[in-house]
Amino acid sequence: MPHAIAMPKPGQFTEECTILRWRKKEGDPVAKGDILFEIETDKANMEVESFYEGVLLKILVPEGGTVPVQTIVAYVGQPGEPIPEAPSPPQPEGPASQRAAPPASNAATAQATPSATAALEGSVTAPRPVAVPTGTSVPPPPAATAVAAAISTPETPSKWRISPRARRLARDAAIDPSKIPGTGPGGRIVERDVRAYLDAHGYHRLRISPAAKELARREGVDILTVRGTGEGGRILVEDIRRAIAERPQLMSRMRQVIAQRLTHSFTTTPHFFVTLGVDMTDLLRFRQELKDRGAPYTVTDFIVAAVVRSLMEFPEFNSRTDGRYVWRSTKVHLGLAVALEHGLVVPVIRDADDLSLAELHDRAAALVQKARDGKLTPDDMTGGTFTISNMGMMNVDHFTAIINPGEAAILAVASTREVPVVRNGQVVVRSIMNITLSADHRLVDGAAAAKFINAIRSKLEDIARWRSEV
Amino acid sequence: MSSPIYLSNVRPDFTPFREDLGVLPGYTYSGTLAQELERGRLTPQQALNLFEDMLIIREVEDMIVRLRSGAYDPLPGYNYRGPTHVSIGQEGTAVGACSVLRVTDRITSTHRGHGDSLAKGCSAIRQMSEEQLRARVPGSTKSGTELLEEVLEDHVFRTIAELFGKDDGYCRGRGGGMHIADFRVGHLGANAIVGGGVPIATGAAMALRYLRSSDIVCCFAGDGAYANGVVLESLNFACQAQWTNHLAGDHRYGLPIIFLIQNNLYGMTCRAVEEVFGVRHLGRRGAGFADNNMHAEVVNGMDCLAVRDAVLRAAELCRRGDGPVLLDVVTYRYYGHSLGDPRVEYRAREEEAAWRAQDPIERLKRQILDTGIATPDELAAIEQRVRDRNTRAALRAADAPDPRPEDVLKFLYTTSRCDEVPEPYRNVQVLDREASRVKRDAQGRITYRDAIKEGMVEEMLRDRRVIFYGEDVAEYGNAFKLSKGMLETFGRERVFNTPISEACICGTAVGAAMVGLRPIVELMYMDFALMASDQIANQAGKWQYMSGGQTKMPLVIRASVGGGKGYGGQHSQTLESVFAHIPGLYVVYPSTPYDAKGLIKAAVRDDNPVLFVESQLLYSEKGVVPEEDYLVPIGQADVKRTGTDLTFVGWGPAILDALRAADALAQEGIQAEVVDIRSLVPLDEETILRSVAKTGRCVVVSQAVQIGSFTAEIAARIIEHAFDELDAPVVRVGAKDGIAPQSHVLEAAFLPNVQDMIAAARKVLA
Repeated sequence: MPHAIAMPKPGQFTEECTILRWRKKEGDPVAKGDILFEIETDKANMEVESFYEGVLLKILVPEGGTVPVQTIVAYVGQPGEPIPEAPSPPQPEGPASQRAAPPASNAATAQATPSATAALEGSVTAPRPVAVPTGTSVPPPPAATAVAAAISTPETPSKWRISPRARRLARDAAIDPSKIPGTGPGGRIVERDVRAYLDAHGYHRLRISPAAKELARREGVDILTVRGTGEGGRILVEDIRRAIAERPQLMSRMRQVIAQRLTHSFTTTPHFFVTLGVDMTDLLRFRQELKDRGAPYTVTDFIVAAVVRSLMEFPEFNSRTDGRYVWRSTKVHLGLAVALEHGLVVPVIRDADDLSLAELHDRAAALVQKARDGKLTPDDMTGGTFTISNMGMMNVDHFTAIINPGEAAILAVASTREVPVVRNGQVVVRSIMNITLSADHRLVDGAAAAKFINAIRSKLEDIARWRSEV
Repeated sequence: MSSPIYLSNVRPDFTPFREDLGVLPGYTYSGTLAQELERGRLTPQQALNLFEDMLIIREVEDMIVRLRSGAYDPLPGYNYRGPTHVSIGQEGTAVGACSVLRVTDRITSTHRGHGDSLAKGCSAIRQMSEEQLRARVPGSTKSGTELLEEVLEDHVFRTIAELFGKDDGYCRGRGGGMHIADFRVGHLGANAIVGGGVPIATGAAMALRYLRSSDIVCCFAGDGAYANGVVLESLNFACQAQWTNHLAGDHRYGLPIIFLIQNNLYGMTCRAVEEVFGVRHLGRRGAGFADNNMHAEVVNGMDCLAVRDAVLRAAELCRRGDGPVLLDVVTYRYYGHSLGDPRVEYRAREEEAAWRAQDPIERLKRQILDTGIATPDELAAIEQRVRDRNTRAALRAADAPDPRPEDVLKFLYTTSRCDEVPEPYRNVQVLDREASRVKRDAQGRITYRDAIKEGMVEEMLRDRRVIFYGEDVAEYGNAFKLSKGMLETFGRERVFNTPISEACICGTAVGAAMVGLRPIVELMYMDFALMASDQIANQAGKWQYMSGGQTKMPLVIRASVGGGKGYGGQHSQTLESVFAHIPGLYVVYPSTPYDAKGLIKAAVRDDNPVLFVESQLLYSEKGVVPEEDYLVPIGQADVKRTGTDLTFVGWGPAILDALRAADALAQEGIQAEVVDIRSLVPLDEETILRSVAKTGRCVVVSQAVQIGSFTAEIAARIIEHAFDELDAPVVRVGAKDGIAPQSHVLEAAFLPNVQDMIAAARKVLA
């Protein structure tokens, strides 16, 4: 019997995953431990290894397919072994919002949100940390959403009804029937509605090249939305191509999750912001000393350490609220926002308050590497109590961040600049780093935030203290 | 010529009497091989043939037993998938009986029929001329005994190939052991429905009688079958007085059929005599059906010579016109019902040992040695020859090609049709042509009822092979006066009443069709088709396919639907959907006089079995029907009205309602198209889909109850093939999912009407 390969359940609450890429083709030999395929969960991309030896006999879920966890996605076995007549796997499908009509207006997307929000609220005990810096520094919008786009055959939501005949007429005319008012039973769009719509929109006066019409039909472009650039307004193939290039692209699953969670956070958490310049001159010098001696510390390590210790002094920043209760965390689980090519992940240094500077360094480095390799597990990214978003390497003067759902605050760290400052009445050049705390006003007020951010600053500037530690 | 009309005039006569039911002779044969040889009833070679043919059967069946346990040495590990109803122990019966049958005599057999099939084939082959032999092995260059040997081996090969489900099998792998048939030697098929072959054999005998053939039929069936209704009905059907009394005119000739009970004591596992029958000897059944007790006797089936003697005498009786004959041949099945039957639950080992001690092969072997016509070495050589032949045949069969999967439906229907009547059957004797002539009104119109009659009469005038029978169809002219005058026109040989036995009416038609007639039979009410459902569904519908195309099935079963007359639940059903679910049958249902005549004529000429459904509600509908010969092709729908806004599609009386609904809708400017499918099977999908493509909206109508109705089949096909054409869901109109009530108020509520159709139309037009 061939071995069934099931979609793993990477996290306690993961219900479905998408296959991003098959690393083996059907017929490829498979050794125990070989990577079979890569998956994308709502939190991370992961590689899935084979437990079995043999040959990849059959792939049941293609790249881009999303299936519930534990669904059989492939079989590994000996060459020629018959594949069991398994009940056919659920048809791969995109996330719920993907099935909505293309969000030319955002109505459909907005409709899809409440349920997602509900899911988020229901899972506050396992917050899923995702932080995105706001302002100029948002990572470039993902260019490669091809995987998701490929499986996003636009379908109509189930309540929207159209007769098969009307649907075919609309398809033949290359128009989007979702805008047509239906007059059939229950508002069903029937043939006469499509014809009336075409007449009302002057469809029959349009001049369309046959190739353009065919392309529009094939690609599902609504020809009524296309402006023709040919002679006398004739719609040409290039017009359709332009329409295709400009039509809405489905966001990656990761971006969708980012969008949902941060929208929720930003619209339901009263943020306020406190900014402070930290004089990093001495610390940078000290770090250079250490570096010359071969010690590996980064500026981030010091910031992390300073934040962790400050949090122990200001526990209200290491907590969360629902507006009625406050949950204080006695441990610090520190999230570090890590920018990736297609988004952002926040691995968590667990029990950071127990760790020395050296240990923090090791843990942070390992997590960042894992994040960049796409190997973070969902458990690596859950349970944070506070987050640092460090854009120091990105050449920014100042920015603010959105608090991760389930946390009290987030610290945005900008680039360190040499600037003229006044010290003891003298203008001197110092290396100043702006840090901005975003805090949940329900939990803390401005004064507390000022004290907290100053506590961080003073720790960073206290070289004597660092010297004693390393 | 005198009129065939006969008015009975039976007076009450209650004079006391005692009728002597006569004597049932049993085991009266006391002959020996020596006596048979001496009296010249058997040559030494024939005796050796009997021995060899019994061995051939035992070898094939022993092979089956061994294959099941991987112990057939020539084919180790061969996966034999078929049934294992072996007849080991019964060889004397099969061989003894078949040895006295002619090549052209017919047999029918049972699920335990390997022996009958092999025996009939061997016997026929041994009687064949060199030319006939060569026809069975085209391309052979052999002659004499070598040719005979080649044909015998081919016979064993085709038998085993059929058991193995191969394309070289007698039935091209479609039938298997339980349905094996070789029509070339008169084997009309083994039958896996217990008793199912008996009315077929009876119908074959009836046809042979009609055709003035001197051939006879030997109908093999087990003791178990003789508790089955259709078997007892067949005995009665075969013994009807009208075959032999004054009603038969100058052709007083009993059905030439031997009902040979292979009485192996067990109906599967039930004990015939001790458990499920009330008579000690099944031969006694004969007294219930004929004053001559059907010449019944009880015969020792373990003695090949005794069986041979009895069948020889029976065959002579049959060929003289003194049939039918009932032979209760007592034999024994050494194995269980099948190899999965351990036997120990219901019979004693001592019983088996006692019967094995009477083994028919050993018995004949002893006699051969006693008479000295062969030495032990010569008999051993025969045994070796049989074994080697079987080995070669089995190896070939195992290697033979499987039927091609794409041919899975091949032989289900034939495309042939009787477009030209062969010369011998064109000469039709007509008594009184005028009696059945249909009168037209001034507009040239006739009723639906008369249209059917006119079609039947024309076909009977055209082809002598067409006969017509059923309940009350003769003098009475059927329950609805539809066939009035046909007896007067054609005489009782071709138009006759039957006993009230729908299973026999349909089953005999199957047998008659197999032997070359083209019968039309009538079921007074379609409800009664359920009485004949095995014969319609398992026999008429299946034999073309199960025989691998060896036979055609040119028969028409007319069934009259009584709905709408307040006749209640058992006389009102519209059941064509049930039979449309049986592949192998054609099902047609005309709605107009024109279609009725054209379709009945097309049905008679078609070589497939056609269930011709007609409605009593339509019998008086009038329409213009041409007097000349025309056919309405089976499988061709008719657009009864054209329209653009919606399609009514359906059949039967519902079409008239749909046309009325269309008229009403036209008042509102809605143009409905009405498609009358006319044939349910085969279905003219193209016409339906074309109409739906035009209108985009469809209502499927019939008078059948909705659940499981063929209307759903049509709706499903529209959705499957014309989904994109639909502008509204397909809606069905039919009777309520209930039982036709007697009350006319309730029946009106039960049946669909014009208003229902208009309402359905509005629904799809919304």
